[in-house]
Amino acid sequence: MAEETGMQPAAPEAAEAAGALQFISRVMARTREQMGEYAAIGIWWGTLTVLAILASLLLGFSGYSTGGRLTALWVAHNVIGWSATLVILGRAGGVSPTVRQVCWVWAGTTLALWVVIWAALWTEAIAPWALWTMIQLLIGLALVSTGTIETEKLVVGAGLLFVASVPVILAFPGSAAFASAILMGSIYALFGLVSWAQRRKGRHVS
Amino acid sequence: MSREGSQPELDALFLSRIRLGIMSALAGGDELDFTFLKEALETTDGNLGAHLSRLEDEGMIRSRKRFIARRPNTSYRISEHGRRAFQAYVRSLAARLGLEEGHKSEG
Repeated sequence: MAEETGMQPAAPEAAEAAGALQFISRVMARTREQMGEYAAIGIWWGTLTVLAILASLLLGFSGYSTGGRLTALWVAHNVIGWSATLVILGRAGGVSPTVRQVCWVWAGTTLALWVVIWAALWTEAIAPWALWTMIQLLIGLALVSTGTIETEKLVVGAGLLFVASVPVILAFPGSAAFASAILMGSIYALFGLVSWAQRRKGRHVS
Repeated sequence: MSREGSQPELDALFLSRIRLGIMSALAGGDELDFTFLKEALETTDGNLGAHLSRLEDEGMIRSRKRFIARRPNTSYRISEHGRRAFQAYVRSLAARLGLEEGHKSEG
């Protein structure tokens, strides 16, 4: 790549100016493309959160109890997920401004909502699980919507995961907690698989 | 002479494709670390380091040093001064081609 390693003469000629502009455009486009891949970290987490909460709602509307330990599991799931997302973003070699802002804003919003929900639980002002799952669902949907602007291919992955989740729920109709645990396990496994695949490509963490 | 530097100064600074590449990558992104830039520009550590130092000395970019997993990591960000200078340079290139409105990649 001689043109990128050597010093070039001044570019007074139109051809050289055109070459320089093309070079600038190429580097900017390539950088944005590479950074778009980092978007996958936050977007996957948003997608998985949506699926997890959708499953929780499905179970709730099916008449199964989703309070107590299950609620605690969902909270832990989100705490771990968002913390991991922010740590990974902090370590990434390049992160687009959009991804950085979206993740921080939603992480902050999620945190604030937890405070509100826990305060409500403490004062017994609201029915616990229904409110926060709905709010979490909205957050996840917003995050995924924002993220898909950068990586449309993840929609396919999200759809596949959803299709795969349904049989799991249906297979264990008598034990919502057990089904949820399996679902969460599969979600973590998939998240780990995606992270591992990205790391193998050498584009995940510098 | 503009605040961003005169045209000959900018031409001299961005004469190197590595320096131009660094500025283009940082203008297209947010904060990029050394490894990311090295892979994006397909250059060597020494070469990249020298050009990064030159740009930092000129106030075009800012660096941030930290430790990630006990390993040193240096990331770079374009400065406001650098962004203006880079935009001025891109405008000058466009002007030479008769594209007075500037180039879309100026971003």
